[in-house]
Amino acid sequence: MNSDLEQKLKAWKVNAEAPARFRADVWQRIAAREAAREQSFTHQLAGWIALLARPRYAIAFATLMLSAGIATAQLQARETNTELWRSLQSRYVTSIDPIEHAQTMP
Amino acid sequence: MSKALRVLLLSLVAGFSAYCVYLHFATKHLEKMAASPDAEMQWLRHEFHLTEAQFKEIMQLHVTYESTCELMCQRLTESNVHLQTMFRAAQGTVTPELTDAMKESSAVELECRQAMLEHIFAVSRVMSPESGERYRAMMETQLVQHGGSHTALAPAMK
Repeated sequence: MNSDLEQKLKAWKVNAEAPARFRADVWQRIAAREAAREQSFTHQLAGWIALLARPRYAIAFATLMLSAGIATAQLQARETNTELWRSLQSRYVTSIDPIEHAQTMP
Repeated sequence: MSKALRVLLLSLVAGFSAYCVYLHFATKHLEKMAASPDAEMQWLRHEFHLTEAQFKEIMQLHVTYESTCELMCQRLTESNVHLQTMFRAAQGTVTPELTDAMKESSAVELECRQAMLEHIFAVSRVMSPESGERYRAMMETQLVQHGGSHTALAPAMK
């Protein structure tokens, strides 16, 4: 029984042939995956950051950050000053209003 | 650390520093003004572009009015305490004492409003006509918005 199986196994041949473009297809897939990885966000970000090593980009980025800081502060200051101005107005009104005084008294 | 990363970090720090410095200097003047004891009078001076002479006169009016205001406040507090006592003593019935207390409280409130209006009008007369008009309009808006108890001022001030 065993020798019969051995003979059959020895006689069995597989004539599998790879497709003609198998090798080329594999390399194409690898190339496509690498290209996708290069286009990913982190990779792009790293690329942009790397640009800052060039003086032209470094100056532009620093100027942009300074301008953004000043612009945000300007908006914030306007809001804070408006609030302060309103609170001073309320304080004045309270200072001349005896009814308001009486309500705030313990 | 690479040169690019250093540029990135330094730029971020510079931007944040610019934000802090600008904000500090842009709000410094008003914050200092708000911290002063006569902040409300300084507000009036700046808001209505008062001259030195106008400001001095208004300050005098304010100081004189302050003692009246304190007195009114005292009387109002006393009448409110009395009204509260009568309200508790009434135990669900409108007694003559409670009615009298309500009348007294209303009378004091009316006196307070009259004194305040007189002061507002006196202050507005010291200002230039345009500023005076704006001041009266602003006080009217403020006092009407202030609370329910002041809504009665609206028709009186027009």
